Amino acid sequence: MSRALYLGPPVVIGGILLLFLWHIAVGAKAIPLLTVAQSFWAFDQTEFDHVVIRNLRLPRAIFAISVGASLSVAGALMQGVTRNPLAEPGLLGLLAGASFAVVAAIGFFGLAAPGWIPAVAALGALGGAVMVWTIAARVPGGATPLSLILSGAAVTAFLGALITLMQLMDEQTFESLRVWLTGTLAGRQMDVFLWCLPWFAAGLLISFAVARQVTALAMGEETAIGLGVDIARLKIIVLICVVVLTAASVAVAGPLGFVGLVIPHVARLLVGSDYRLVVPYSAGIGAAYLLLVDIAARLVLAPVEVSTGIVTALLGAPFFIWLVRTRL
Amino acid sequence: MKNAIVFAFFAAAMGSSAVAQDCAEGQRLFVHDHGQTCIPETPERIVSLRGEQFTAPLWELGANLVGSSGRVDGSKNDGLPYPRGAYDIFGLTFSDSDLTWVGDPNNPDLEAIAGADPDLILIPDWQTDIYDQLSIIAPTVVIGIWSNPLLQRFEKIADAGGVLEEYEDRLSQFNTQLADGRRVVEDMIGDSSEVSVAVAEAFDGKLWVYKDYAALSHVIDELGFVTPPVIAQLKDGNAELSPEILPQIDSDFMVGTYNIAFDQPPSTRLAEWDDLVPGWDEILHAPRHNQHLLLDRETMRGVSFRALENTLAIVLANIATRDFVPLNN
Repeated sequence: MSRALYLGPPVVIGGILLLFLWHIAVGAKAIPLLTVAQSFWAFDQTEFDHVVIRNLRLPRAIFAISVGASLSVAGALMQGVTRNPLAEPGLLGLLAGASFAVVAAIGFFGLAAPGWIPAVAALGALGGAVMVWTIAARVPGGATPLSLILSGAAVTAFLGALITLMQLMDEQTFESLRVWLTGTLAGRQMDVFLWCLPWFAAGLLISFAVARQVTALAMGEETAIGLGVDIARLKIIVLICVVVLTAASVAVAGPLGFVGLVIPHVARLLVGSDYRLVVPYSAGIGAAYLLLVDIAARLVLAPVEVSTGIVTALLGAPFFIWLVRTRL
Repeated sequence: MKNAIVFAFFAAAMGSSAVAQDCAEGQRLFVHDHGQTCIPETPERIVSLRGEQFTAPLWELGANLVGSSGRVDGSKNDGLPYPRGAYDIFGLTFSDSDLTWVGDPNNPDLEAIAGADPDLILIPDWQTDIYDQLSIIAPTVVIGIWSNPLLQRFEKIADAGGVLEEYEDRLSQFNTQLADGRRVVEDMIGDSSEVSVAVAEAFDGKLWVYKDYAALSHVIDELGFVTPPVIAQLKDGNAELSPEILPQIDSDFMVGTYNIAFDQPPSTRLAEWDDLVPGWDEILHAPRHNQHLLLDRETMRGVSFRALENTLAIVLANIATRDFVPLNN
């Protein structure tokens, strides 16, 4: 524990830094490292290599860090508060809710302005979470890990069907959201990210602040009450954090599945079950993970690019199966 | 050896005779992109499951169409379904014709198809998952879209639809127009292989390039213009590439499309380029010298001689008959 406390932060931060540099140094176009460096200290808009670094790779790396950290922290909080090892925004309907809300808002109400997107996604994520929780709570046995996962799958399928229905009613809306719905960091706009930045920041800061109480709650409600935790208040704060982080992530990159599932488990393997460490480590490892995934998405079939969401699903699905076999 | 050849010939003759006997009278064996199927010699009730690929050419050639898939796109055609491509080129609608709407192209309505009582169904190669279901309703023919070059595809569609003669007549007329076009190019440019044309678009944060983009690519190829190697070497008709390789598509002319019904007007298409690669219009030769053209996608993309003729006229007017700044300069 104490070793992790001292060695961990520089290792994680160093890892993120290395992956960040790797992310912006490699791609479909080979660019000398000196040119990569020059694009930062002597940027020339007429030099295409500089444009590639500054306008294509750099924003994408920033999106990867923000979204990876946020989805991972959201997953960690959900797993801690619900004591459900399978809890994460994708499996519990938040990603589907946020995606549905964004598609509906753009398709029916023309709310395509970047400032609206995170708010709309937040409403959708909240709606998805409430639907899943309500269904799971009403089945015999209540909201167990299994019933939550099953109702999450049902709500995700239902909202997916509604998205398909909207597509059939008006295909032009879907055309412009087709790639976004697969979950991608490519071609996302900086203006949307800037609108989401306060959401990311607030969600992460509050998550770090409540991590100690989440540790208490993860030990059981009676223990938490004994330690003076206001459980109802904590759950509301965590729900807000999860919704805010998920909404901002979906607004920037679409629904990226399994990130929030995989990373908190990796963090717990490294630092144990103290959420004062799990939450910040999830943020750091999640950021590094999505940087790595996005490097793979850009390089594996270069010059063809694969949607980042497809890679996260390819990596996350086997991990999910392993978790179900070992933890349920 | 001689005996073997005789045996092979005999076996082949027997084989073809046996195959011919597999089809009932009034039917013929048709080889398509999902195997072989007995279809009517002259289909009387054809259902098309792709507007711009099948409905448009069959309608143009006068085939016996009774049903077509159709899209719904905002206020286009007053918000009613329309057969893509055929509506745009010929003004064909379901309400003003005897054509029955049989569902969305990506989600066809099997009951509506059966209700149209077809004797032939045409589907694209990405819908083979419903081939067996459709084959119960009527003989079904699969046409590869991106895997077949335009004219090869067009000929297959005409052949299946029983309008091959009409197709050949129209092709002969178009080839005459093409020959005239080549003379225009020779007169104004000289060696057309020295002029490069890239068909490329920015869409939803991705760079799309096209080796085969219906009438547009056919006309460009037939006039002898060349495409950049990164596009010419594509295995498929199109590909989504990393915008980092943008300079590799640099060419004398660049052509893209717009589509009003899809909410992609020209200004939006140009803005998508700005979003994809800021400064693209300074990086690439064609936009830098006002040699970047945008065409109406639907009137160009539908498989039809009307689309080919329109596109030929546009390409000649914009590339062959005016001064331009060559890339090599």
